Amino acid sequence: MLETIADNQITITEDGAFIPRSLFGHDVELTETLRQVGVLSTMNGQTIADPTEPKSKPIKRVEPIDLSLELNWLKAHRSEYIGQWVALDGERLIAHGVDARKVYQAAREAGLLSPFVEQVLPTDDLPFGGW
Amino acid sequence: MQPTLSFEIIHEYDPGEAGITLPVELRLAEKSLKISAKLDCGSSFCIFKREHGEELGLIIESGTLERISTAMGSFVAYGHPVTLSALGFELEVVAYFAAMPNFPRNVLGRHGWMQQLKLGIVDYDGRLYVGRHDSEM
Repeated sequence: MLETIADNQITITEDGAFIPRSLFGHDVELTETLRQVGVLSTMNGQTIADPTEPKSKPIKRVEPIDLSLELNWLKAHRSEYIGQWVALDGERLIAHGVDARKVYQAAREAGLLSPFVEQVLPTDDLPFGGW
Repeated sequence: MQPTLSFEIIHEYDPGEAGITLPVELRLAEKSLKISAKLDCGSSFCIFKREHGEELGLIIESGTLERISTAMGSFVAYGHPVTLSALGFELEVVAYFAAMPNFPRNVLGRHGWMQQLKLGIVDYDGRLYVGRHDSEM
């Protein structure tokens, strides 16, 4: 058996898996790919412990995220977009539609590096009951 | 002696809204996105809509399978390690993405997130106080 996962990347043979040095350190991508081809096995339906999950979880202070303009926009325009995904940049509507992937794509094409995309649901008017 | 707690961040929210809605950023490798999520002490995990995980480039079903129970039944979600930023703190967490599309909401729960922080809520004023779990009391 010879299986190459994408060009110049991981190669699976009968003897084992070859991981090129260029992929060393890309733990998340490596784990995802190795899971897809069955190198990382599962037991009783549960995936084995993820080696990329940090043992100790460092906490870093960062600038708080401000979505107040976006959330205010949603409050004001919710009824107009129920059932749709909306991409917002502050109070500016970048894209909307029923396909999340297309809305995200439009937001990225508009130059947003970390877009805010929300699905507008009528049930948000109901009290939140937790789980 | 009266117990006292100290915090590093105060987040103000609208107590008139349904639930406590928090701004969140999720990041994986070069991709990041912002969402709103409900604070939910009753949720074991941080759970997000499938579409957000797909946008981060994840193959949802390749993650760690969890069947999650709710008051109304259960659903399946898959865990993936991501970087989560909320309330001025950035953590590496295993975030769970719902298997079914159009899952109704995003929630911040205990494992990986709430357990790493110290939270104080004064709901009357709409104030959430936040600090690291191991910071000075």
